[in-house]
Amino acid sequence: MEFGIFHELSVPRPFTRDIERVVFNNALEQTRFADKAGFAAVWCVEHHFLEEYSHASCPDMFLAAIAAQTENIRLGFGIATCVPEMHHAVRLAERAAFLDVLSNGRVEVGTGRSSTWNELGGFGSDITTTKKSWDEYIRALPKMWMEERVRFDGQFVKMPERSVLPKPIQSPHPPMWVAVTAPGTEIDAAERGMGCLALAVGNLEKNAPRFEAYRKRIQTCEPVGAFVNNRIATVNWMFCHEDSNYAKMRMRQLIESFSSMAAQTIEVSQAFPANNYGATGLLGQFRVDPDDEKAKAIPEGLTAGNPQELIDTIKSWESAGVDQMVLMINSREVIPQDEVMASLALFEREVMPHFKKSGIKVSAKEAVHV
Amino acid sequence: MSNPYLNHPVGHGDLTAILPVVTPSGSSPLVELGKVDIHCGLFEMPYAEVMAVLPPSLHPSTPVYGSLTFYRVYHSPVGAFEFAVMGIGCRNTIKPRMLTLSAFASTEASAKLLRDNWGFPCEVADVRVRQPYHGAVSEITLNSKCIARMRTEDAEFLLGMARAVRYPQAINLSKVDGKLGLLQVDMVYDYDQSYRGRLIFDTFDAEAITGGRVHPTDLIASTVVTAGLQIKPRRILLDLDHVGGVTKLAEAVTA
Repeated sequence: MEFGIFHELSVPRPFTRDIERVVFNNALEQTRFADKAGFAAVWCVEHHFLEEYSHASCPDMFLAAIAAQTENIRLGFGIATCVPEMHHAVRLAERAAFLDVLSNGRVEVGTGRSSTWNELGGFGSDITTTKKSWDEYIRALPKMWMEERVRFDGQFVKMPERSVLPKPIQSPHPPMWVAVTAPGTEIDAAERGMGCLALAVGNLEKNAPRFEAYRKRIQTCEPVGAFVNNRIATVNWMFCHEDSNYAKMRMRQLIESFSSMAAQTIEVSQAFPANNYGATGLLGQFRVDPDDEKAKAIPEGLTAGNPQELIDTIKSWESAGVDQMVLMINSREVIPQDEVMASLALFEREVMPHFKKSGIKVSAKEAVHV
Repeated sequence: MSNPYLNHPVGHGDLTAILPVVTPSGSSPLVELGKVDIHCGLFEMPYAEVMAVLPPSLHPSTPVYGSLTFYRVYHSPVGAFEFAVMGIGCRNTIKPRMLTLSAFASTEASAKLLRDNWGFPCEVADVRVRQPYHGAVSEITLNSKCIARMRTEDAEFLLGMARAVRYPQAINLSKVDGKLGLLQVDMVYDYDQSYRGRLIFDTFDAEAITGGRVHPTDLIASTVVTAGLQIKPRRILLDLDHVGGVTKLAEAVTA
């Protein structure tokens, strides 16, 4: 089992001129610690216009800052939005490769297509084609990284022959992932030989069958890149404290903060119903029926508690086939930074040693080449 | 240790100065309306306009948006009628709701039904919902003047779970059992078929529909739905001033 940390860069109101700097700097401090502690990866989301929820509009810049301040931790786009009104495919390829060069080959490229009206509507995106554009982008990106010159004549990537520069350090190219929330996306990831970056946020029982389906399907995949990235990472909240009850109280605060922020935004399916956004996305999952007491409970599988409880929970995720637990450790600074750092330190000291020698660490170079 | 998880912006409007206070008086039955046709347009509006209307108990959605929704009802306790409601999308804590600004019903009896049971501030008007091939056209004519003409074009079938279009529950300024608040209207939909298409307003008289307080700026989309519709008895009255404050009028009724 590997560990990662996940940054939304969520910002509490009031939006003073200084508050984003505080949030960004706190996240950088957490990541420097994670690097020294042996975390495998840091992931940063890409979101636009999502007040409070996420001010991480430029994850490549944030990851570049991390690259300069760390030694080993891998740098994950969590995710790069493959929608033409937001990014030309070339710009995504360039940014990922540029960061790979700067970081000496530490980039992981998560991909996705956004699920909020705030973002897609804000950029005037064609909602009905985001899945198609994502599918075209993920096939174009590896070619841009590997081939000296490329030309495309697709529906979304159309360009005369050019050399997309720079080329990444990692050969043949950085590992690619798909953000998985809606049911069925894990199959999309498996079919294309891409890693499954599951925004599971607890709910182990619900997600375990999806991981199993992913593992089965990827055995016969047709990879979009030069190799199969056969890994499952799952995003989960984490707060570690010697006092289990205190940890769970903090966890409840994290969930409440995240849920209430998410609920203020408008999901695509609310504003612009479309066949490619049929399932309730991550935000909808947090907007539960107020009369459903069961739905209001803290989901099982969350990593909150004392070290032994966390070890037990992580082992259950490991048994379900998860390779990397990606930990969300704060929301809108609800937990003071000193407590977040103490939680990380306790996690490093008491939890991580139980997992250091288990499992098989797979790097891009060791991944299955086709 | 406080958790400022509801520290989102809230409106600063005084609804009692803007809207009529309806005092529902009916027995609040569960009403089955059978299969109805629904035509709904969604549009974005200026943030400042919406914040000046929303009361301090409601958060704006981000981005702020509104809807004009038409219903063509074929069977009801008061016979067939057509009905239109203009609302502002908002949040009651984490729950999406649609604050009613105005409502129009095609018959006196239907206006009374909607007003007396669920607090819709209904005016009687000529309301029409029609579905030509591959779209819909809906109109409100008040005092011989067309105040809204809304069209859907280029309609596409919605399949699977996308067919279950998520219409937020309306909340209406009402006085219930002597208490002033926002009466939640619990509508239950059983979807037959749904389309989404391009929204076009030939006419939107903001003065007549919103008192000139909010104006559509950017049109989002429209939906055309045929669904079984049931309106449940009165259950929840939201506070006007306190985020998350509610008075429970009755226990939930399971369909």
